[in-house]
Amino acid sequence: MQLFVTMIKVVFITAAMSVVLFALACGGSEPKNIYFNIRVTEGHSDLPEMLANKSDTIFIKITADTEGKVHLHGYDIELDIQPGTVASMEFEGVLEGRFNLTFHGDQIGDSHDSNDGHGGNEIIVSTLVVNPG
Amino acid sequence: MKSSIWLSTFAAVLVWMVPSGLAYAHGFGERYDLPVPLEYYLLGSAAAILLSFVVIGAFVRARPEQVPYWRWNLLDVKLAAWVISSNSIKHTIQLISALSMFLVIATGMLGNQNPGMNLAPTFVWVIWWVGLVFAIAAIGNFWLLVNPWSILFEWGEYCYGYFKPGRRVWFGYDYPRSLGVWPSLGFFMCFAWFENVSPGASLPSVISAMVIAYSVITWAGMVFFGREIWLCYGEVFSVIFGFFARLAPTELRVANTSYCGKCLVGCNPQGTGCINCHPCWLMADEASRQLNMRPFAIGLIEQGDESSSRLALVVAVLATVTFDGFKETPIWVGINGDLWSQLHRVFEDNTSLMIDTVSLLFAPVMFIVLFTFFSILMSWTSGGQAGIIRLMAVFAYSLLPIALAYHVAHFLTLLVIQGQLIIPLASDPFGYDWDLFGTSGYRVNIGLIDARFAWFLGVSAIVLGHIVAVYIAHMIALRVFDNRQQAIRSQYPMLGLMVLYTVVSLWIIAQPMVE
Repeated sequence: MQLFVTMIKVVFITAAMSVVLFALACGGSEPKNIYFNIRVTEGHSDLPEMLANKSDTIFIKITADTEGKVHLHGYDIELDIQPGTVASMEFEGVLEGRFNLTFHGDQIGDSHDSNDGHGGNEIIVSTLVVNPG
Repeated sequence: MKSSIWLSTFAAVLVWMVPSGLAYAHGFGERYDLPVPLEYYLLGSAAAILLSFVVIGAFVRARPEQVPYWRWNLLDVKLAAWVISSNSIKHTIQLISALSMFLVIATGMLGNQNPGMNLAPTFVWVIWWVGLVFAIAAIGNFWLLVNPWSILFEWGEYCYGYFKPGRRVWFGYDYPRSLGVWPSLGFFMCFAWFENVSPGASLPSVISAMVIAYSVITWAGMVFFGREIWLCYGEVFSVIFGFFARLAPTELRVANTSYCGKCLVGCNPQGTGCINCHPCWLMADEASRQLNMRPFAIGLIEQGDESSSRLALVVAVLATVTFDGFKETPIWVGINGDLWSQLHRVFEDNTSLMIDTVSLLFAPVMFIVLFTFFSILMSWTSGGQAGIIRLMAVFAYSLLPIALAYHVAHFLTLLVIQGQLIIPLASDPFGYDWDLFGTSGYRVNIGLIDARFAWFLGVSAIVLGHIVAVYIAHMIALRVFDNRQQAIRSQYPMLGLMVLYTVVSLWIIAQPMVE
């Protein structure tokens, strides 16, 4: 019985520590504007990772050497892109996490929503990392 | 050479099953988790180690006592007793379970093959494989009630009994007990391969085919050897969910060992009756049946079948749970890439499949080697009294809390986020643009769990799992060794193994998940 009581105490201490640390960690930083420029050449990108904080306003500009669609997963923003033009996204970082930015050549004709799958020929161009503010 | 032909054929069959163009559909199963930051990982590891010594200290100081654990029979509450004995409730739940299996098969075969728009992948991988393991560890072994293969066979037997009264659907073969749960281990490795390596795991039609294949195998096993025997030794999910049910805060107990003598399955009765043995439960009278609440994880201490086959299966479960996470880490992706460039000339199109398959098989082997090493140390520090295999067989269960905790840390976000897909899928299970309940337009809310909460939950779960594991291992040691000194000394190597396992688990969740 004594052992069991000790176990309960240990579990309780762990839980309490977690809650305290969790409460302390919730700080905030000033929301700011953050800009990214990505160039896709021959299926490769020049910016593998984009770092931002929650509540930042994020601006992403993409150029590519072939025609296609760029898709930011999670936020589910999709843009058409042509060689010589700039595709721009502007949004608030409301979701925390790691979100892939993908590019695929113009072969798919079906409709697109966040639950949909893409055909082959989709490449991950960059990853947007939105950290807790 | 022969095995690569076999593997190529198998891969070709799978590729044939894959609709062209859909090699990997990101809509289903996509993860957006942020890796746990370094500070959390270090703090968690430190806390796990520190608190372990608190637990050990308590064991050293405590008076030795052989007190059976606290239990409270829920059936003492009239309402609970009525619910348990109600046939209409039982049959309704069973009907829902059986229909769910048919629905999964039907949607898989006939529905939209996009995994995010079909019921089968979400139901099988998220609701059933992840959700049910959590639920069973948290509540109790209700798989005994909802196992669709058992239900359908039982109903089949009932109908057969109509035409041939008194006869069972059984060819009369006796299951060779020396075979233990080796068949289950075989099925589990196939399942783990299907889940972790096969490119078709998220495809609805492939899932249907696998469910059908497994149903045929399971029913064949039941016809040959008898339903309850097969469930106890050959039906892999019954065995594995049974492992996780040992963690649960409830148990089914038959408080009268006279039934156990007649039990076909050969359950392991202890002085006060047998636990979670379905055949005994069915035979027993009302007075002997108990549905007890008990402390969480205490069931891991219970003496069970100490066979090497069961040990192997527990190790396989532990190893594949960890491997599942490890294969998404950048280090593994790097190693995989290097291996690929070396082996591409030999295996060509099958290279990835070969590398992943071999590493899946390698994971339990590596685990066994490590576990054997620490068990030898355990035997040595405790005076060489107990055999190594026996030590491994009894102590393997004490590692399950760490595996379950890692499972929680790794899959909770999947359950909460991808699990939401069940809402639109309930209205449109086939992906035919139906809207049965008006929820087909529901969009998954990715922001439901914020990153910090997920980190705390994950690290706390693993640290807690670690402490529970240390405690359980000490309790097992007190049962296994005659002498308290020996018992406590034997646990230092075990602590080393657990710290290693816990730190590796924490390390995995601190890695970014790479596709």
